[in-house]
Amino acid sequence: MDTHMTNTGIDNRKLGMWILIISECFLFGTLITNFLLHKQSVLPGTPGGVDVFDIEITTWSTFVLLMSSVAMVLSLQACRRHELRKFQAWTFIVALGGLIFLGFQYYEFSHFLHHDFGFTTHLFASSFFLLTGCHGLHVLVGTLWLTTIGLTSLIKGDAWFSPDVVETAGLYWHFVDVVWIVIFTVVYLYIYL
Amino acid sequence: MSSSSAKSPIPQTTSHTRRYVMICVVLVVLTFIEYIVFKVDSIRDNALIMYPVLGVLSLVKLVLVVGSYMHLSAEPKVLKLLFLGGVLLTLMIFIILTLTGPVGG
Repeated sequence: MDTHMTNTGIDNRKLGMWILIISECFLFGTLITNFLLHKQSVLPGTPGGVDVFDIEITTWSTFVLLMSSVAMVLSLQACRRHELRKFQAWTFIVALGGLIFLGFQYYEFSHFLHHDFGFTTHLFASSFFLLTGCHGLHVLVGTLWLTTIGLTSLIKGDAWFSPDVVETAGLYWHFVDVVWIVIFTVVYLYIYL
Repeated sequence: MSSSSAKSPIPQTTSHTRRYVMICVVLVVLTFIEYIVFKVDSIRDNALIMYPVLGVLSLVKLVLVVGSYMHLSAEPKVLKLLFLGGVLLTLMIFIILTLTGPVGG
C-alpha cells in the first residue's frame, strides 16, 4: 500500500491508530485508578496481593514483552528495507513473545486461583483481574494481528510489502508494552504502598 | 484545504539496529534495577526512597519506548500535541476519580 494524500500530512491509518491509543490511555487510566482505589479492599482471612504475587515471574514476563518490542521495531525496519526473510522472522518472533507473555499470565492466574485468589474473592482481586485481564486481551489481539501479517507475507511473498500496515500494528504493540511498564510498577512493585 | 503526501518520518533504508538494541539493553537494565530496588529490604523499608525511584525508572522506560520505538520524537508536532493532550486528560481522569473516591467508600 502506498502513502496517500491527506490533509494533515500524516497517514490516515497511523493517525487513526494514535487516536485509538489515546482512547486506550483513558481506558487503562480508569482501570489503574480503579485498582488503586480498591487496593485496601481485601477481606479478612482472604489472600491479598502481597500473599500471592510472584515478582520473579512478572519480571520475566516484562523482559519478554520488552524483547518483543525491540523485535517489532526491527521487523518494521526490515519491512521498510524490503528484506522479506528478516521481516517475517522478526514478525513471528514478536508474535512468539506475545504467546510467551500470555503463557506467563495463564500460569500466574492459575497460581492465584490455586491460592483462592479469584475474580470474586474481594474488590482488590476483582480490580486486579479486570486490569491485567484487559491488558492480556490486548496482547492476544496484537499477537493475532501480527501472526496474520506474518502469514500474509508468507503466502504472498515479495508482492506483499506494506510498511504502513506494519507500522500501525507496531504502534499498537508498543502501546501494549507501555501499558505493561505502568502496570508492572503500579500493580506489582507498589504492592506495599 | 491543502493536502500533502503522508510521509513516514523514518528513513526507508537507514539501519537503526544498533540504536534499537542499545535502547533495549537500557530498558532491560532499568527493569533489573527495579527488581533489585524491590527486593533489597533496606530500600524496600524506606518508602521515601523506594517509590520515587521506581516511579522515575518506570517513567524513563515509558519515554524511551514512546519516543524511540513508537518514533513519536520524529513525528510531526501535531501528533506529539495530540498524544500529550491524551496523556494529560488521562491524568485528569486519575486525579478526579482519586479525589471522588470509590462509590460508597
